[in-house]
Amino acid sequence: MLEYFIPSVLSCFQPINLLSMVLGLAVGLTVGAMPGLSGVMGITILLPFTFKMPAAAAMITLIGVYCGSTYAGSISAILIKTPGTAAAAATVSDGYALNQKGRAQEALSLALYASVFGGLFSGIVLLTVAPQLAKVALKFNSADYFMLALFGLSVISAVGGKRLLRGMTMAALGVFISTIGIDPAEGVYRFTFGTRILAKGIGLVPALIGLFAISELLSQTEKGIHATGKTEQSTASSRYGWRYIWQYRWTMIKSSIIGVIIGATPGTGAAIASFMAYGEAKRSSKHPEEYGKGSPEAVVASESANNGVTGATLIPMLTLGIPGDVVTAVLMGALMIQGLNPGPKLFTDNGPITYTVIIGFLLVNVLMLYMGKLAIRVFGQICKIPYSILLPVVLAFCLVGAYACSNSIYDCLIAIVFGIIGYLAEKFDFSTTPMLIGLVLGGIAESNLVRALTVSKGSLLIFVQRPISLLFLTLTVLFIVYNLRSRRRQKRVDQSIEREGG
Amino acid sequence: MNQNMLKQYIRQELPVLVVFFVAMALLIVLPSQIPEGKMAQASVLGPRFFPRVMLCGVMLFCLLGIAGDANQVFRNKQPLETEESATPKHYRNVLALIVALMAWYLLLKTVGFILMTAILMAVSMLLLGNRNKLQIVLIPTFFSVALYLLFANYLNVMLPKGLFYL
Repeated sequence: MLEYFIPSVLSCFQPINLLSMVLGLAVGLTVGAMPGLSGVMGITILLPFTFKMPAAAAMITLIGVYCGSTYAGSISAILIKTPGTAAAAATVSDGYALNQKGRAQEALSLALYASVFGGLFSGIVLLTVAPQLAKVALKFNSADYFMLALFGLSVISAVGGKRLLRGMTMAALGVFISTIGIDPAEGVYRFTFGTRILAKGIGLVPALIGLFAISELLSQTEKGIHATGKTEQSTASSRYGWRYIWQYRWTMIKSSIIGVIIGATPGTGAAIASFMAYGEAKRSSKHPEEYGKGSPEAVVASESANNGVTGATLIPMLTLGIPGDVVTAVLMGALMIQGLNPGPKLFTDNGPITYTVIIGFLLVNVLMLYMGKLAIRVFGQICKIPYSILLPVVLAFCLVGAYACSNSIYDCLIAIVFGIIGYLAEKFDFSTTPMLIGLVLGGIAESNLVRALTVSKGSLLIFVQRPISLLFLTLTVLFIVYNLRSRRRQKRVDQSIEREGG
Repeated sequence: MNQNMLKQYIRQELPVLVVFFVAMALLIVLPSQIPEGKMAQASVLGPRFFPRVMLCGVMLFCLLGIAGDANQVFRNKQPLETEESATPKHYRNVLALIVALMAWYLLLKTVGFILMTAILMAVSMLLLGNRNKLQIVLIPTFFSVALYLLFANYLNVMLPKGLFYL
């Protein structure tokens, strides 16, 4: 590795590579901030332009899109309560609540710095321990994956809202909704009611757009508000620099580690990582009661985790040739188009290019800090627009975003229906976040449960025989018990305060 | 037993009951919606297994929630936490917006993206309380055209043109 390090660093500073970083980040920040447009779409749009580029520059461009879009999902999540990407779903509640309190600039800056930290952390891990980590991640079997999904679902005990049972109801509904469409094991249709709309299942992005954006529009219509969104007097983000974010260093480190572990595990994703980091941050926080109501720490946790995933997803892709998700599958395709074969030999046969890409990844994250500040300034102006103009524009964006997911009008209907569900749910004290977690994890949980039980011929012992499964099972139990106890403690404190007040 | 508390309890639990009955209805129609898989003969698993477990879960959580709240209200005599806001509600506007959204969906292919989106945006601006005529005409027109051009020309998203090529 060391013999490639200095030439790779020098190569990264070549004008073409620097320009590639800027181009990739600009596209990534734009598509990420637009609801419904994903990093995959941005990468796919730029892919044909990279064919004639040198291999390293091509990969750096696409990695720029990936990192930029993963971060930028938080911009729209904070400003208009619409996560640009699924990865920013955990940021919505606290980021938007901070915006509502007139602290949008703080939330945006925290998200940016935490994302850069998470990205750099995962980049360093990618550079140093990639092959070792990939070996561990590859040992995961279906039972381990199921337990991992179960652990993810246990986050509901932390984010289930005031009424936990209603949160759990929503989570179970979310998992149920994820089963609509084609059964993963036997390929039969489930709950399609004979319609084409439901045949391909419920898309995560249209559901996300509906649950968070359209529902918000409906609830604002109910209130009849046409005022301007609250903004701070100063738009300077320098007040919320590294010195400010330093107080959240442990949350960032912990969340980045969660992001790296989840990211290195194929078939998971940034959304799961950010929800897990959110849950863990809440569990260990000194102020868990602030979570969901505008906690800066929550924004930091979810954003450092989802960007912590970015570098880690490249680990199994580069070292073993296994794409962990759709983005890395497209990136792997791009690598192969350039004549490079991902796998263990990539580091020896094409060392200079590989290390240039990895160091380029780190530089992309550094550059993102500056380009992200520019993006915040541009997108920050959104807060000054009156709601009666902003929300209809958001609605149009959302509907186009839902349509763009698969060029299908049915996705728009799904977004509208989920918008109505989200509006009614919030109205009747049902938190929508557990439903989203259920939707995200339902597929992974079901396919791996079926696979694991088929292998074990129905024996549940498979979930306690392997150390990885057992570890996740223990963590799940501990996490739930801890959260239930803290809920009870919080309730008692609230009651005693009420009694003293009364 | 306070009459208000009882009323509040019923009002609070009604949505939970609705969810419970929806889940129950889905459980009843489950056999007609999911064919029995081949694996079902060998074990409990099959395409029906997971949806059935989840629907049972939904029903169970609903019942536990109703029972828990009943315990709090009837036994411990504690009122349920509610967030009643003082702001007036405009439910008719919400209903009108939902109708506008459904109309947008149903007429999109026939009428076209630009025209339908402009109308939807104008309607939602009105419902949100905007009364500036110039804004209501110009902003939806500009944004729907801009969105169409952006998505159709640069992002390869083919939005419906409709009968009037709008």
